[in-house]
Amino acid sequence: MRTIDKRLFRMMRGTLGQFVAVATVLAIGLIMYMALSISSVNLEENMQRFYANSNFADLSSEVERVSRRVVSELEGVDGVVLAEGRVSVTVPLLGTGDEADDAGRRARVRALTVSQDSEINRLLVNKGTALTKGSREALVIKQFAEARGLDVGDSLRLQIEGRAVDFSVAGIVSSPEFVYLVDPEQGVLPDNANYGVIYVDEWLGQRLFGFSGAYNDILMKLERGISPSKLDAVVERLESRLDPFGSHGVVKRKNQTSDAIMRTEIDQLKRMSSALPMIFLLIAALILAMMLGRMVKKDRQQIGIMKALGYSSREVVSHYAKYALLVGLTGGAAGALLGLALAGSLSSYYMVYFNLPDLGSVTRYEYVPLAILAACAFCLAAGLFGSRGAARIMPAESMTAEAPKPGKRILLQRLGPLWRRLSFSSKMAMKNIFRNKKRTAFVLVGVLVSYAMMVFCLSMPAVMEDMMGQGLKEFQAMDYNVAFKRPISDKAALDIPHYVDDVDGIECKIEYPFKLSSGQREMNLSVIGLDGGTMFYRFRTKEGRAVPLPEEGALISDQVARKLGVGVGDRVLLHSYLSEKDDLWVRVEGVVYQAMGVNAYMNREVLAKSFFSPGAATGVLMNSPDPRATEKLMRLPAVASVTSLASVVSLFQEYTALMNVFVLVMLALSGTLGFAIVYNAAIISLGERETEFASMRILGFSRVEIFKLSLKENNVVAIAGAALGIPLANLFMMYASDVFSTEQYSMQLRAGPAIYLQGLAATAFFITLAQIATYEKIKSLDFMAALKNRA
Amino acid sequence: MIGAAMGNEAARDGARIGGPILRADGLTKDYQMGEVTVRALKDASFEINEGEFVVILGPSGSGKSTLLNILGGMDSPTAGRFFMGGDDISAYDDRRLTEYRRYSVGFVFQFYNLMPNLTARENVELATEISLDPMDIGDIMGRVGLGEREDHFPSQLSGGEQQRVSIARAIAKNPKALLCDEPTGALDFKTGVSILQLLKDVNRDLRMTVIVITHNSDIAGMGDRVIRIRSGEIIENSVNTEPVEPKDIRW
Repeated sequence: MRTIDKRLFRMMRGTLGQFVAVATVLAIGLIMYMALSISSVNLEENMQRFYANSNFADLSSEVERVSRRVVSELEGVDGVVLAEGRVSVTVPLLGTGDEADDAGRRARVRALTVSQDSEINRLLVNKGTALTKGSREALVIKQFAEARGLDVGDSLRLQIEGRAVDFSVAGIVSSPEFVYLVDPEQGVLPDNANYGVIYVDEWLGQRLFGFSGAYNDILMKLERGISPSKLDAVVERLESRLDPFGSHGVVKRKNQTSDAIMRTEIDQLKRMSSALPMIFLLIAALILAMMLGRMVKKDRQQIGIMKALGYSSREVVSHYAKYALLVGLTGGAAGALLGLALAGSLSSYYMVYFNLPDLGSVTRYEYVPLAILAACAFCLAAGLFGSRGAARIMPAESMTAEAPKPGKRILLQRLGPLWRRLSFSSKMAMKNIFRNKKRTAFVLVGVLVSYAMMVFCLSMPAVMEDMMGQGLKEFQAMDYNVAFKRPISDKAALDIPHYVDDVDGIECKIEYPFKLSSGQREMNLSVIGLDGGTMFYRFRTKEGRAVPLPEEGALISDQVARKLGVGVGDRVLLHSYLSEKDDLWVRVEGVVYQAMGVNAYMNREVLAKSFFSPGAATGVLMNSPDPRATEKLMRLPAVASVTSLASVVSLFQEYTALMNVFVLVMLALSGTLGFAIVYNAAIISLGERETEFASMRILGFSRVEIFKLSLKENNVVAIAGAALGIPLANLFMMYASDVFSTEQYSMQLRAGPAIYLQGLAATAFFITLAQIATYEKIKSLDFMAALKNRA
Repeated sequence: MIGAAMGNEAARDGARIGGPILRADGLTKDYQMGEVTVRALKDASFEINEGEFVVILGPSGSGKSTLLNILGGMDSPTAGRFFMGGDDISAYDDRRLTEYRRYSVGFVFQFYNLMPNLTARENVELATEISLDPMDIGDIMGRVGLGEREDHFPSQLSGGEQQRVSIARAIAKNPKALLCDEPTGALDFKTGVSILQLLKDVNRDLRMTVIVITHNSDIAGMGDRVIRIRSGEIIENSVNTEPVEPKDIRW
């Protein structure tokens, strides 16, 4: 090994603490990058493979009723290569066994028919066997089976057309259309124990559900590589073809619930995999550049000697840059390997979380050199930048002591009364802070980023609370949301309180899928018709201003307004999927903030008269303290589903608990960042000020007093950093709100005073740790030797 | 004793001293200190012969370190030229100055300036690794009397020992000239004399030109040539026909 490299390694050993700290920050960045990138790629590829293997439908359409012949004829539409029909019915589950009265009563099951020669959305049988024609068997979707502990051979009792029908579980299956399984009535979070999908034999299903020889759901495959414009044309043709059959519109795969959510999840993962690690890499680079800059300054004389011996500026700069490269290699290798290891587990976790069959995750070794290379490139650039000062050191000048910086009055000194009130050590600390601008900036940036990340992390659980609060408590205030199987008169609907004890309030509603369009832009959503002066919805703008439900026209959620590009006063076209109903132009009377879900709201009577019959209702909203309300309501033949607010809230709370784990991990990582920066800055500062501190020791200052001085400086800068961190935290939250918000829900990350204070406490904790580590270093410093060593 | 002859001297002292190796011609150096220009060196001209032991003598602030820095390629003159073996060093750019320092001259500093995190031997290796024709390190370490302590770090060595390492590091590159900036300035008398003896031995045994700058006029007695400098000007350049041995010097 060359002697100059031996010097490098000894330099590394002498600064081991700093070396490890910065390598750790780098490694954390790379672990995140590796784990998140690889998982997202694995997840996406696995999903695509699953889609391909199961021949996932390109288009689907729910209709009222359509014959087998009509479905076959769809294959005649240019672009459609295959069309299949099936029956889809959502029915209550009466129990998983013979016991009829267990908690399973409120669960709902979407029963789909499947024939032996179904080609589209082929099922992957995880356990058991496929269905036998004509048998009373069912295939159960994996998530539901797991959540309810169902296994092959168990029996399922469904309530079909008022009768209890038993099925025996033949197999546990996965389907590409239910990778992410959500109850369309419930919203965005899976509730696997209470909403499931089962498949029954087509011949049997058609008879049981009253669809002999007919279907109410169509799946289609399109020719390969169809262009977007042709796709739109095909959809339009299909919609007009299916309109007479009560089609609810033709849904493209990208708008299919499971696929849309999965793609959003993968997209979020991808965005996170680049944004989060970047923060850590940039911080590591910043620390390194600063460290090397200071190192070069401290080694000024030694650099002069090297140059006097004949080493060129390039050789000296590369010598120091190599230090940075070593950090890159160490942090890079550690991060890449740990990240690779974690990527495997994270990929598996995601597969399980998203119920994707693991069709083979690949250990992506190719990411290792990529990550190490990226780390090295970052560090090398930082190293070259930080050590560029070495090139400017002239050997002759370096032999003499550097001229002291001209001492100027600092800004604070001009504020006479304030300055006079400061103690001597505080004055020293303030002068050091203002005179060493680079060092101050370094600590400031470190604390700023660390604090901003802390606040950002801490705001995450709050956003869940916020979504829950806004979406489930403020915006909607009903205990139960009841949907009927088919529209009934409001008179009949309001009869429901007779079946439930203590109904505190009840209103009829219409909730029905429509297509809302404005120019070329369109979206499918549920339009909700409510009675004027409803007690169950509180409409507010994003700014919090109350908006009444208009007599005419509609209120739309802000997500809808953004998607359609419309605002108050614009007109949108309401297209009904009910056959023979004309489209209706409605004026947007208000844009309201809705944390979860995308809807439009209108007066029920307007909707009833335009699309149903006067006084029609598709469900009711009600309040009741009756704990068995769900069970009682589900017994009614007209009721299709009952959603209790309490169950949705508890589901949300489960997810909040999950998010808290993530937040804790992120807090620890952000804290490490703050620790690394403050520790490094303090050590650099110590190195630079050995002589100063040695002189102070001679004057009679104790080590503790010197430590207090360093503490005071860091604390002042840390407080300033935290103050400046607030706008950065807000920026992070804005960015994350944008990344995390989807078509289904709007996430508005916000932080109140409590969160800013919690962030401050967490930052202070990590900074204190760094200060304690610094004190250990101060204790071991030989100040007297520092004095002797000066020329 | 010290003669009054000025200018180029023919080869003296038998085979030890050869022809001119270093020639300065009107060297001037100005430093800008804020709005004031300080002239540290004024029109310095002289010649040094190969194998000579030269003492540049002057009080503090006389410009002797500036002169040594220019001769060592560590600084550039504002005006004038200087030649080493016929090459105009003052015309060199940064890259060639680095090569000049690497191959042609060796430095010994007042405060030794060793690399604290390298052992004595490694400090010497640091120089030999980049030279074209280095000497044997073991031999050099023995010659400077540090064979037994070559694995010690600078902090484990005395001042005299550190200066020996510094000399070993300078001569191990096998340079044409050894430039020493107050080599005894930080040492006690006895150690100082031993260092001067070492430099004399190097000069004699290796036929290496040695230039020592000092403010100590007693050291002048051991030089083959003595250049006196005051306020940046050379006031005397004399040849010493009977240099004394270091052991006979007192201060």
